[in-house]
Formats: sequence, structure tokens, C-alpha cells
Amino acid sequence: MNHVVLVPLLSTKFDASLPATSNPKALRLALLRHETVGAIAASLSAGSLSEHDLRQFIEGLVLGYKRGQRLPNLMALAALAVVLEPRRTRFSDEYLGNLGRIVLPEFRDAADVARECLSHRQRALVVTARNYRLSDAVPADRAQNLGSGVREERRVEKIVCDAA
Amino acid sequence: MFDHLLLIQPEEESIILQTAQGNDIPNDIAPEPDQGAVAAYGEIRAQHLFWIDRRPPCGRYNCHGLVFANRRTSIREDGHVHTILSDDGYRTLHPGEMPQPGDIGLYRGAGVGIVHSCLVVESPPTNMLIQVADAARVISKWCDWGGEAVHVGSDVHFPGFQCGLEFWTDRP
Repeated sequence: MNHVVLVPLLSTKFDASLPATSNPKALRLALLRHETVGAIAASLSAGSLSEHDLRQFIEGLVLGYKRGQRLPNLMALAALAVVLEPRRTRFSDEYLGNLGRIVLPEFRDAADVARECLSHRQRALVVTARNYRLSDAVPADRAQNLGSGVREERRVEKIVCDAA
Repeated sequence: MFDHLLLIQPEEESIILQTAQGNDIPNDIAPEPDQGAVAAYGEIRAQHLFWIDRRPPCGRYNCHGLVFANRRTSIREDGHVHTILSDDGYRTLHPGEMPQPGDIGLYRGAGVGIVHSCLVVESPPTNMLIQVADAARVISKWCDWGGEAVHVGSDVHFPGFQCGLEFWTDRP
């Protein structure tokens, strides 16, 4: 059974509440500002919704694939791409990476939004890495007093370096 | 996740589509909409009482495909639309110039580019004190899974961002 916060993604009301455009930038922006998407992101952050719940939900959606027909509830996949964009977990990497690699026309809008999310994520990492260089100029003893923010940015730079 | 889908060879179809200058325009034939998409279009349609239906929801073409490819295929990227506008000799309307049947309209979202396009079928009414370009009657297709309708240019809604309508013509 799907988690209660995910159920609205399956309604026609949800599809009808999005701009009818194939433009992935516009779709991502509209999804980012969508109440349902915000509620899912909040539940995920609070821990009341797990990545396991998401995986089950996604697997259920994909079962609807039929060649030659737009995937039912396609925009639910796009919405989850937007939800997972800021998360740095193995699950979110796998989801965005694999969805972005799908070239089937039945998945087009969701795959395009996933690629757009990946591109935004990459840009955000670069900005954070740049900020890190500024924070790196702070002496180590002061950095410790600044708390977890600086340490977090160091971690992000390590991720950037590893990715490079 | 999606592992089996990554192994499926896409059956993406496209047609030969070129601008007046002979530049290729990448395109694809969109799949048919599912029942959910048809129902979603019904909900959108119900919010616009003055739309006149021309065609129920279908795949194959999107709004740009209606305007630039005679309903044969879907055109996706802004860059390709701009190539067509440039190669086919389109220009924006002069200040005060009103759109005429056959001109085209582009809906542009703030910071996101072109989100929709339409074809003008009737100039704005002249029995008004001020003629408003957005009052032109247009025909458009709602995405690559929706239907086709005739409507007033301003009678559209793009939730999530501000959108403006600009008109282009190939008239001298």
C-alpha cells in the first residue's frame, strides 16, 4: 500500500495542476513550488516517509509501462525527481541517474525533468565547493567554533573531488 | 531501479523536418496518452469554459508540432523553435501592430523559456476602445498528450510561474 503522502501523485487532479508543457525547466520549477511535492519532501526529511516507501511506490508506477502509450502517472516520477534532487543518498543518486538515462518516449517528460534536476544538482555542488574555498581560509580553530556548517562543506568538496 | 527499462530499445520515431533554409529540426512522434492523461486534460478543459474543442487528446504532436510541423510530429527544444523562426523569416510584431490570422504566438515563462505556442486564427476584436493583442483568437494543442482547442490567447493558465504571450509573423 502506498504511503498516504504519495497518494495525491496518482490523481488526475495532480496532473491537471501542472503546466501542460514539455519544457523540463518549467516543469521542474512548477513541481518545486507544488504543494504536494513540498509535502512529500517534508515527510522525507522528517523521516515519516522512507526511501523504501519511495522505492515501492516507484516500482508500482513502472509496472504501468506499455509500449506506445505515455506511462500512466508519469508526472509522479518527475515529482519524485524534484523531491530527491537536493538529497545526497545512494538511493537519490540511483533514482536520478537511472531515470535520466531512460530514452523511452513513454517516459520522456519525467526523464527530461530528472536530467534537469541532475544539472541543477551539479551546479549547486560547484557553488558549494566555491563557498568551501572561502570557508577554508578560516583558521582551523575558528572553523571548529563555526560548527557543522564548515565541516559539511568540506564533506561536499570531498564528494566533488571524488566525482572529478 | 529502472534496470530493465534501460535495456529496452526505444521505438522512437521521427520524420524529416527542415526549415526554409534547409536546417534539420530534430523531432519525435509522441506516444498516445494514457487514460489518466485523458482525464487530466478533461479537468484542465473544464476550467476553460470558452475554449472550443477541435480535437480530443492525442499523441504524435505537441503545440510546436501543430504550429511548425502541421501536426505531424513533436518539436521540443527552444533552440529548434528559434532556428525555425530565424530560418523561416519570422519577426516579432511592431509596437501597436495587431496579430493577424496565420501569425504565431509564443508563451514565454519567466526564467524557463518557451512553454507553449499557438497559431492565430482571428485578429483581436476591433469593437473595443483599445485593441489588445492577447485577445486574438488562437488554436493550440495542450502538450503532447492533450487535445486541441480554439481559445483567446490570454485564456490559458500555467501554474507555478508567470507567463507572457508574444506574437511573431512572417508578413513583410
